[in-house]
Amino acid sequence: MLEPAAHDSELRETQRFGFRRELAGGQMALLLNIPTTVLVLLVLAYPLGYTLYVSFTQASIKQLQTGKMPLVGFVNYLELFKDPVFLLSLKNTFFFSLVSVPLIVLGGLFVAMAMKPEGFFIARVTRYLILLPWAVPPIAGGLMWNFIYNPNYGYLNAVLRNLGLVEEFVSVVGDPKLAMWAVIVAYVWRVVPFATVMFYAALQSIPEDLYDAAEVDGANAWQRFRSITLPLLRPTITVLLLLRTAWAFMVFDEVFAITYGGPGNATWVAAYFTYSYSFKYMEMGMGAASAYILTFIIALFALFYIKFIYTEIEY
Amino acid sequence: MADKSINRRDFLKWFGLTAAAGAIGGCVAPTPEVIEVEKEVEKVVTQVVEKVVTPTPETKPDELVMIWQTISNQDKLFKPVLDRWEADYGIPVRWIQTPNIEEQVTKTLSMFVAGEVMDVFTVMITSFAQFAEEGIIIPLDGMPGLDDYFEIAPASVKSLTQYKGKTMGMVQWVASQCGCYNKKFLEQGGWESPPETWEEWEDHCLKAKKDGIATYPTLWMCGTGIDHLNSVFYSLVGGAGGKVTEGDGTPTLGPGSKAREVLTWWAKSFLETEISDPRSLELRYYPAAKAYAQGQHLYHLGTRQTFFTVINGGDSPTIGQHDIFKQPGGPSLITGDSSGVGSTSENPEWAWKLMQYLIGKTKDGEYLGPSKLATEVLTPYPAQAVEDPVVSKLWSNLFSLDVALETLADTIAVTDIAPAIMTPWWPKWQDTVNTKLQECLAGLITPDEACDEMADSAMELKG
Repeated sequence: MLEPAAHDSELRETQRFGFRRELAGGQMALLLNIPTTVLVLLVLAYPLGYTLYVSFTQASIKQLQTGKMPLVGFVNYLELFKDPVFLLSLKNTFFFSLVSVPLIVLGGLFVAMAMKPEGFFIARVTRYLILLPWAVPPIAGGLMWNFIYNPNYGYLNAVLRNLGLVEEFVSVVGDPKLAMWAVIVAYVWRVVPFATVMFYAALQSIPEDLYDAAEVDGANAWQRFRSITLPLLRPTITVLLLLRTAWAFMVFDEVFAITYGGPGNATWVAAYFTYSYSFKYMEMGMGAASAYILTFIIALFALFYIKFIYTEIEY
Repeated sequence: MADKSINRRDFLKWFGLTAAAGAIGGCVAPTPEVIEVEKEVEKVVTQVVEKVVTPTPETKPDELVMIWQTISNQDKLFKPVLDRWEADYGIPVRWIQTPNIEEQVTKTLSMFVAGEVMDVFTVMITSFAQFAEEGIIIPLDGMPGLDDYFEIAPASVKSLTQYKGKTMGMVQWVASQCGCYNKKFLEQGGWESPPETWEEWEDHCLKAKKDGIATYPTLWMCGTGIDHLNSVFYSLVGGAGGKVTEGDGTPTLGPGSKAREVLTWWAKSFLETEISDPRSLELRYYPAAKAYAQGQHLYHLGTRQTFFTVINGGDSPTIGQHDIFKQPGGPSLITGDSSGVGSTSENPEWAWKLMQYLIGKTKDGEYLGPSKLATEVLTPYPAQAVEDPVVSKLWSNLFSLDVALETLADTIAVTDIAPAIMTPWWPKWQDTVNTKLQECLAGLITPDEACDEMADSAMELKG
């Protein structure tokens, strides 16, 4: 019969004598997590729950202030699904996310791969400069892009005309077919650094031995990327897809700064719809309901990613 | 003994349950009651007004809270006003600044819901009815000296402050639409003066286009916004003698209406004759003025304020090449935002005194605040402002003073063109109006379809 390991008897002794000795691992973890848990409950869980409650009420500003809001059940939700502007906002949001998220992931991966080699000067420079767009406040970035897109004196038009691609300045933000793409470009520009940093960190953790072994076996660059890099990046890709999809669904700043939802309602997105109902029309119940529908959609995406894309990696 | 250490799975389980309990706690509703909001608001407002009108002992507050925008240098303009206030009364003012007026709506709503004190703040004309309906601002009827201000303000301005028969604010600034023209292009076209009718305007623009003076002779402010594209439309309709809604909110956009007629020729200028610049559709207030200041257009419909700050001022590359003219066809739209006293103010009588310093008279009878605003062409009392030789000289150097005063004398308030602006459903309708006008001017729908859809939307919201 095997003797119990020395640390097992120490563990039993700790449990018998409680705080006379060090806490067990699980107990210490629980204790250290209590402050964060309380903070999360206060800052996150309570507002989430209160918003859910408001979404089942017909709340005006005055009623929100007094806290006495008549319950209307699912009326707000039903009204939203009958509202063509809400459905259009959802459609625009889906389009925005389905286009911008792959661009962000691919763009981030591309730049991270370009930054990886140690010997190149441009790689070193990129590592320092890549975070600049991320450091720009979203509204400031949106206003900057508004200036770039200006149809009378913007840089984009100046470049296009100097390259001979257009004869006179074109309206990008004023064209319903191009306005959403203008917002997507501004958003992707700002957010690619986040993906780049995540991929760069993940690439650093892949052992070089794997690449050396593959090279010895005769694998070319594409084969090494496809068979080693991509599979080992799956957890990072999943996390990025999850985060970027959630944040793309919540896009607001670039829309507000560049197009204000226009032209017409070509760039109305779900978050802008929520803002309009809450702060322009002062219908808090409808605003809360639209926010929760968005939350539900993001949760579905998260479940999909975790179930079908995420995988644990062991080297 | 069983292992009592907690593993990761258990921790996550208990954490999730606790979080869910917290969320459910947030969902627990008080006993549902059907609250007669109107009666409650009326009760609160009556109590506040009684406190104001009934003489009370002079007790000074420790401070007053003012929420005000800093656009157009107002942070510098109002500093001497607030210094004078503090010197006269010894009450400091805590100024919560917002960069522009639009942000104030979000700011004041949040502060109101949180029950924070708000003494004096700006109320946008487009949110005025909602603020009054929700009890965020209090009536000013009976405030000492209130009626004096309406006597010197442009006629019809009083209507911008009325809600359900009560005066709910004091006009902070007024703006009237006026035409801007490029003097060099006018000369090249061989015209002695800008157009006085829209037919003349069309003739000028067609000739300017044909002669190569300007590719698109007219630039408009047609960007999406609270009062950008829609204000231009209302100004054109009002000038033509028409209306957009009746007093009860019923739309007047049907076949044969002036509004439909105006939209038809306006769309024609974009799509058929191409004398209106299609890039106008993405230009809001200042960007439109800056675009016009590039010197590529003959005419622009803007305001004296943007003319001063952007077209003939600031970094404009064409300073001195422009002047203003009266909007063709008829009276131009006049609009403006107001200041209100918050229902959360603890000292409404003092708030009213502070408001007067900002946009009325000091206790010595000096129009200090309005004269400061007049230097940015933002005064609520323009006719009174030009009696000040400093203001008169400043304005004369910027544009034709006679034309400016003539424009201001022949105006029609937005509340007369679209009385529904004083309904709580107005902001929602404006989003539909913006969408349909832009779709029409971009050629995606016809003017008839645009008017029909705007009318249907108004009837649905009106109930």
